[in-house]
Amino acid sequence: MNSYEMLDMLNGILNSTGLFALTWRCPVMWAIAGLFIYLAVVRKFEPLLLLPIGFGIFVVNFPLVPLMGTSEAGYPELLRVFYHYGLEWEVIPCVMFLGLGAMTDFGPLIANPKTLLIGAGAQLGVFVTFIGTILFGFTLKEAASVGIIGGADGPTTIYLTQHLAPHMLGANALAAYSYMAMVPLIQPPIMRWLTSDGERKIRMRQLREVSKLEKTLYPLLACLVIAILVPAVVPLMGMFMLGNLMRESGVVARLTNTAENDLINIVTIFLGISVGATMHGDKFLNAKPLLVFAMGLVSFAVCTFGGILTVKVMNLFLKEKINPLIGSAGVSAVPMAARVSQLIGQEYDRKNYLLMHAMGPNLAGVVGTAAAAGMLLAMFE
Amino acid sequence: MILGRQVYSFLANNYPGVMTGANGDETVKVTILMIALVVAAVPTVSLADDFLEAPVLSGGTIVVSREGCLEKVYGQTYEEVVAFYRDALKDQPDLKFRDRGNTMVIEDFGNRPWHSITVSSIDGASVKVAITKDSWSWVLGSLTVRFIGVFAVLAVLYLSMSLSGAIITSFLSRKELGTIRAGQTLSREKA
Repeated sequence: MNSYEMLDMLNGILNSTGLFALTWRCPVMWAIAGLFIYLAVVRKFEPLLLLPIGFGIFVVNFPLVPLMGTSEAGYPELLRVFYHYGLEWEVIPCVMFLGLGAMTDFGPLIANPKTLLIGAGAQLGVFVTFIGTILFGFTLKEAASVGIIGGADGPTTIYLTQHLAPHMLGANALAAYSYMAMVPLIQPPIMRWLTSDGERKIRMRQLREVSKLEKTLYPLLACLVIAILVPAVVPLMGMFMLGNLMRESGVVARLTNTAENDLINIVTIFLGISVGATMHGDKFLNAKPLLVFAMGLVSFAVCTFGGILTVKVMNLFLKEKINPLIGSAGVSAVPMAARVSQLIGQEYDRKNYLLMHAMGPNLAGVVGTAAAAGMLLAMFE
Repeated sequence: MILGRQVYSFLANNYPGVMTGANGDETVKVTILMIALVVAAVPTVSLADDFLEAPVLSGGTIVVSREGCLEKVYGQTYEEVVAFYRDALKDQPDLKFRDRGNTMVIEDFGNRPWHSITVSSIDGASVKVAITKDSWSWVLGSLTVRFIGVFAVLAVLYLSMSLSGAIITSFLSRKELGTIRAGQTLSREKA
């Protein structure tokens, strides 16, 4: 081997590394990835999702990595496969809902079904933000996908965004999960601002016991109503109710166990890394994702406002008053939002136990967000 | 060029002073006249072919024409007009074609100045095309209705849950009461 060949070989080796293809976008995206990994590891903010999302952002923002493209033979690369079959085919959000359904006890909602209206009122932010987002030059479909962030339901946000504005999936999912993690920071000031001292001290009657028969029939009934009125979200809600029926029937313990543990854990890994992988610097570093984060926060705040306001309106007509602090739990973030209601309530009355009461609107929020997503899907399809 | 020569001959015959140049070069004059005609025709064509950037089929009779709305009636078949719009908008993203039998509504979900093009058949003989401007009232109205729709969905679920809950509770309490009574009868018999 002569010196010319040696130099040529070294040049070839150097060009096959990513060193010469690095751009300023790479370190910026690594920093963003680092922030999410930090929030997950150190601050424990939604670590199950923010950790794989952060790593996904990190790993795709290296030049020449064969992850999200297509191989020379025409086959999709590793993360592209996860993304294609998991998110583009809308498998992951639906399977996640199966697991969530298997984990959920609808007892508090069945015991006090009027809290369903709080879940509806808490969707105010979805629609208000829709309008605000259009003003920033987003298309109607993009605006709808940003608005749903306020519903604080990750799988529903992903499902709707994938349908309406797939190019915004990374930013929307990240905003949704980030704000869900920040519920204890975002909601309390709004809750204190909107409620009086007397309202915060309202004690609610203990919820009635719910029979097994009612709990078993609920998923079928909810599925029936949703399938008739908002069929567009049946893939999501159908899976949710299947998971819940498996749980409440008590006859398929092995399946329930798989759905609420192994299955949901597996899809969470693929969801996180696939969402992170969509955030390549070339597409992500512009004004739109920043606006998505800003409008997502607005949506979340207005949804919290909407839930509390709905309780206040309901209290005008009810004999037994509802503590407006549980209104903030109308955003879905289960069970974080309900815990926040409990904590704020106990700041003013140590013996006021709001957790189970707040679980009603919290679960109603899941159904409400799905209904809002269905309404928005129907608008465009 | 032939059209230019004909126009030139017409002007030269009727207004000899206007078309007589200093060097009498007819070809140059005809070329200038052609360019002038093309330039004059361009804005006419573009005005006739779009309204708020939405394509407009040429011909037809204008029924309504104001800032936010254009309505025209054509003597063509419904299928021809729909085919024209399908072809004219085939590469445009964020559009929805809603076929409602004798009416085709094309809605824009992008950021175009127009909101919808409605093509409707009038008694099978003629076709009306209405183009409307994008408006906030549509967005606000649509979102308000959908927000109310979310309430309606959850209210229906609320009512059905309340009803089924009441039925199940009463059924279970009757069953429980029956069990207690049966127990009492049994204990009386035993006694």
